[in-house]
Order: sequence, then C-alpha cells, then structure tokens
Amino acid sequence: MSNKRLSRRQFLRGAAVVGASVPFLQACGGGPEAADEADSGSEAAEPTMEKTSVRYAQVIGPLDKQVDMFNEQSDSVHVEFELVPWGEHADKLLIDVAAGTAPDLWFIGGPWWIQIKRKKVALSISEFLANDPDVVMDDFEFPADSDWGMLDGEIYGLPTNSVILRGLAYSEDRFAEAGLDLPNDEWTFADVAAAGPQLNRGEESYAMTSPLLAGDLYLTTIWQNGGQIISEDESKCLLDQPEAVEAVEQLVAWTEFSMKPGQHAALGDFPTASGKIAMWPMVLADWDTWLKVTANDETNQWMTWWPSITNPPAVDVYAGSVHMEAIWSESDKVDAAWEFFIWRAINQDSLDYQITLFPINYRMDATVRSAITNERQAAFLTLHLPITDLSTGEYWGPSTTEILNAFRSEYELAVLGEKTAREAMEAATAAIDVIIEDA
Amino acid sequence: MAATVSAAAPIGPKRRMSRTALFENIAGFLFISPWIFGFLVFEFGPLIAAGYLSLTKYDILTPPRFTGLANFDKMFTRDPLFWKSLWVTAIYSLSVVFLGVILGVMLAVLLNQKIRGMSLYRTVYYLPAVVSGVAVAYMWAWVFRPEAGIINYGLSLIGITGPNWLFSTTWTLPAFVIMSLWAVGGGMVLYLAGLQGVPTQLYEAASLDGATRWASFWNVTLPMISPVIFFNFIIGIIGSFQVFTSAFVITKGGPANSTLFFVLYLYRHAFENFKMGYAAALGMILFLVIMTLTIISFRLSNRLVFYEGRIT
Repeated sequence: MSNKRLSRRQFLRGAAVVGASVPFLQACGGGPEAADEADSGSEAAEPTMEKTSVRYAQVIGPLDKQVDMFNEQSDSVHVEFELVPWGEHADKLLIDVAAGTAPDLWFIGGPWWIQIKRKKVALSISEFLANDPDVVMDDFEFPADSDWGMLDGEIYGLPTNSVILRGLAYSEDRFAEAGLDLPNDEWTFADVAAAGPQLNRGEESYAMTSPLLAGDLYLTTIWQNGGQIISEDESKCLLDQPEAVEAVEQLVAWTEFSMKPGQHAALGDFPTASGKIAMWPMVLADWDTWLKVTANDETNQWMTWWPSITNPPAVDVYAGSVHMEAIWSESDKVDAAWEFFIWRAINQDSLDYQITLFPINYRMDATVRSAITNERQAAFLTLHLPITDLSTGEYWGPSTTEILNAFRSEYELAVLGEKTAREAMEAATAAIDVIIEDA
Repeated sequence: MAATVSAAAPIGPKRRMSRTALFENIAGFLFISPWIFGFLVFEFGPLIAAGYLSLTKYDILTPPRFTGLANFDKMFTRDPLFWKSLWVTAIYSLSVVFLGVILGVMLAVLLNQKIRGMSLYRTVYYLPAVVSGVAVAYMWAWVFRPEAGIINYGLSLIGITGPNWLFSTTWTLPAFVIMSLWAVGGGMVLYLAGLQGVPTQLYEAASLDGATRWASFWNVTLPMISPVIFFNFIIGIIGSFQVFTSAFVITKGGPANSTLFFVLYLYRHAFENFKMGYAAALGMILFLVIMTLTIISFRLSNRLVFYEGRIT
C-alpha cells in the first residue's frame, strides 16, 4: 500500500471526473427495474418466464386480490397489478400513452373516458366480445354496446362496475324526531323543500348537507326538468334556457335549510356517521362506503332514489358515472390482455369477489343472491337496479371537466347569493360557448 | 499623444494558457458539468419545448398541430379566466411579498436580541418553512373551519362572528395570504444573518450623533440589510406567482374562481382539459411576467438598495 498523499490538483481532477460521471452512469444503468431483475432470484422470475406478463393499472386497491385469483387460475397469463392513486390516474395514463409505456390494461374514471375513447387510445373489443362464447351481452347491467362504450359502431371498453347513480340518504331517527314520513322513490324537490325547514335544528342537527353537489346530480336535475347542458350537435350551451335555469333555482333554494359549506367538517371525517344530518346525497348500492359513512350501518339510516323536480319528471333519466376498463390500443400482448380483461368482467369467481366491494356490471342480481348472505346488505346492493336502465353516462360536453368547472363556478355564486340563478347560468353559458368553440 | 501611441501599439503575442491553468479550468468545468447537464436537459430543453408547444394545439394523445399565435389570441381576447387568474395571483403576490418582508424583518429584529433560549425561538419560527406544503394546507383548512376552526373560535371569544373563510369570495384570498405568512420564518433567517452582519461601529457612530433607536433602525439597519430585503423580495415575487399547492389541496380554485391562481389554472388546462398547447402558452406568459417584474425590481434596486462594496 502506498503512503503517497494526493496533491490538491490531483484530488480536484479525480473528484471532478467522479462527480461528472455519476449522472451518466445513472442514466446508463437501466433504472430500478434492471436492479430489481438482477436482485430477484430465479424463483421470483419463474412466472414471467412461462406466462405472458401483462400490466394492469387500477385505482381500487383491494382488486389486487382479484388479480391474485386470476394469476392462480391462468396457465398462460400473469397480470402485474399497478395501483395508481385516483387523483393522478388519468394524468399518468395520458403521459404513459404519450411516452409509449402505457399498461396493457387500465382503469379510467368516467369523466375522462369519452375524451380518451375519442382519441382511440383504447383497443376496439367488438370482435373479441362477439367471438367469446362465454359472453352474454344481455347480462351486462349497463349495456356494453351503449353509446358510452362505443364510438363509430365499435365497442372500446367495459364498465368497471355497475353504473354509479347517486341517491338520497336519510336518517330515520331525524325524520321520526320531526314527525315526518320517510323519503321514498316518489319524492319530489317539493317534498325535500317542505321537510327541510322542519328537520333543521340549528347546531343540534341539520336538514341537509351543503347544496354544493356532485356533477351527476346537477346533470340529473337539469335533464329531468327537460333542460340540456349543450345542444345535440355540441355547438351551443343551453344552460340559459328556462328548463335548466328552473332546475338550478330549485337546487339553490335548498341553501335555506342546508349546512353552510365547510360546516360539515366539524362533524369529523365522516359527518353523516354522527347521525346529525337528516338528508345527504350518496352513491346508491356502494356498501363499502355506506359502512364508513354510517358508523358500520349502526345509525339507523337508509337510501332512496334522488328526487325529481316533478313526479313524473319531464324526462325520466338519471346521470350516471361509469368507470371503464380498456385495453391499450398499442399493446403488443392483446390476446393475453383480453384473457384477463374478460375474466375480470364475467367470471363468476371474479364477480363473487367484486360484489363484496362494489356493485358489479354483469349478472348483478343473481350474484348478490348467491354470494351475499346479509339481507340488509343484499337489499342495499340492489337499490339502484330498477333505475339502471334509465341512466345515461355523465357527459357535459366535448371538454367535460372544463365545462363542469365553468358551470360550477357560476353555480357557486348563485349559492352564495352573489348572483341569481338566471344571471349565473347566463354567465356560464357565455363561458361554455367559448370552450365549445375551441374544442 | 499617449492615446495615439496606445492605439498604434502592436498587439502582443497571444498568451498561452499554462498546463496548470488548463487542467484547473477542465476540472472546474467537470465539477459544474452535472449542473450544466441538468440545466440543459431539465430546464432549458423544456423551456424551448414549451415555447414551441405554446404555438400549437396539443392534447398529449395526438401530435401537436401548429396554430401560430392562436393560443395567445384566445388568452388575451376571449378567456376571462386568464385575466381573473392573473388578477387573483397579482393581488396575492403583492400582499404576500410586502407583508412577508415587513413581518420577516420585524421578526428578525425581535430574534436578534440577546435573551435566553433565543436558539429555540429561532428554530420554532423557522420550522414552518420546512413543513410539507400539503400538510400545511390540511392544517390550515382545519384552522379556517367556519364553526370549529381556531381562528373563528378566537374571534368568538371577543364577540366577533368569524367569516366562512374558505367559502366566501371575499375572505378566501385573505385566508391564503394569512396562510403564507405562517412560513415567514424562511425569509426571517436571511434577515437575521443580514442583521448580524451590520457593523456595530455604525450604531455607535449613530448613537454619538444622537440618533434615536428608530432613527438608527431607519438610517443604519434598513440600508445595511437592504440587499437581503431585495433578495427576499425577488424570491418572494417568483415564489408567490407560482403558488399552487395550498389552493389545489384546499379550494381547487373556488369558490367561484376566487382562488384560481395562475399556476392552478395552467395545471387545469394541462392535466384536466388536456390542452397542453394552451397550458404551455400560459407558462410562457408566467415566465414573461416574472421576468418583467424581476427586471423592474433590479432597475429600482439601483435607487433603493445600498451595497457597501459600491462606496468609493
């Protein structure tokens, strides 16, 4: 070993060379996958050696067990489950598609689907569906060949779960306390408005959560009243038409007996679990969420359909959000991807597992009866089925989120009392017309 | 005559760089090469790309289509939210930068005293500057709650009914300004360093001249730390024009676009509306706005900032 000390200059030279090399070495290193591959033993690599491996991006974490079930059953395909946060899944998918690194199969939230579908990022699955002997098209709760999944006569995706329809949840205790009959599926806005003031007891209990609702409820209310967001040829916003304005006026009127926006936070993470709120909107049939927001179904609450302005409504329709599953059009493992794709959608083992998490989109009624033993849970899971046929996918126009934002900001001004509903909808119409023009 | 001689003098032989100097130059460049590489790849490259994309219609999924100045035309003539977001950001930025400087200097002066446990106080005041933005946003969302929030509770103790901070077109922006001032400790540390660099003999001289404490602060302290104030001012402008996290987490730009900050609006176009070309155009405008404000500040600094080294 030499005792010779490095001169200052030699040290500088050496350190600079090492410093400069690091990023280049990292860039050439092949990333974490390369390291993982090198680290993993032959045992871990075995499934991918024998089976075709496909990537599946999903936002619902518990579905990893469903993937495990498939991997155990399939001799030829191995699915790699990639959990993506809901808030980032659409951005991530778009960037992956642009970079050519998208997963072979993916989940996409309802609000983004139509734009994705129109770009033909998803593979047409019409032929696969037609040629698969196990598929019974009529058994889909939300039709696979509805406008929602189709473009130019081709089907591009299947719903992840049954159509998401929001209904009216209510506290039986609060209604009993006020001596009122419980809401039912024939309720109108007038019934809500009549019950509201009687259910409002200051800070002790509240008639209703904030009138700031979800996009599908605005849409349902406007559609049911005979209004439209945009014209059929998508050239003009129609929110300033009397039917739409009247619907918005009715929603804004609920401000009088609703909680103040933000006030619900004082009741904790799940304010409805406090039992202090008499009415609130919630997704029908979502048992898993129901347990969370009702303290494990122990607060004497139940649900019915969302009320319409009149009974019967001018148009019998509900806006539903449908999350979709699709195969990437550029995937080079289409057959393997299809094998999992259709197994996930129609295999009975898969359906039996999914029904424990959320309403499914294939043979829903039969699966509930065969797989669910808790009667109350079974009744809850099928609450939405009678109106599923009336549902249409939530769609605000060619730039859905942008149009919804334009509507919402003006609607908020109406709720705050800074504009009348008419003024707000006229301003929204002007803003949306510009958006449509550029779409 | 001398000038003539000088002008006519032949240019001497080009001096060759010694081996030592050459090696040291190469070593220097190698040392900074990771930064140069990072700057070219991750900053300058994207800047050029954004410049190009701002002239296109680009939805990420299909190739960009050149549209010339159409994005800028729309921005200036048909997009009220562009002006709204610029206005909201400008008001926020103005409030945050000026209040931030005033509070930061005041805090630094207080923490420059010689009392027991001063290190602890300094740490406590600096701590918010290093807490994650998302965590801070959630915490303030609780603080500003209309019924059970600590601010409204405090106001109720003195008989004032607090506003619905985060759902009022009047109060949301002030709420965000208050929120940002919580992190004033970041600038305070720099002011503190500046204060400790002020020579004590200047105070002694001022005292001998009969200056009051306020006169000493105004005529000695402020001019001496004016370069630090100027630095924080510039950094504050750049930072406040890029505010995003708190609005994204707490209000999503609402209510009624009252917290639609410019970068949030840019984000919406890029990642919610898939209008990457328009978002890039917004990015270019933000770049120009910040650059213009910075240039104006530097011009004004010649008159307002005192640099000790310039005294001749």
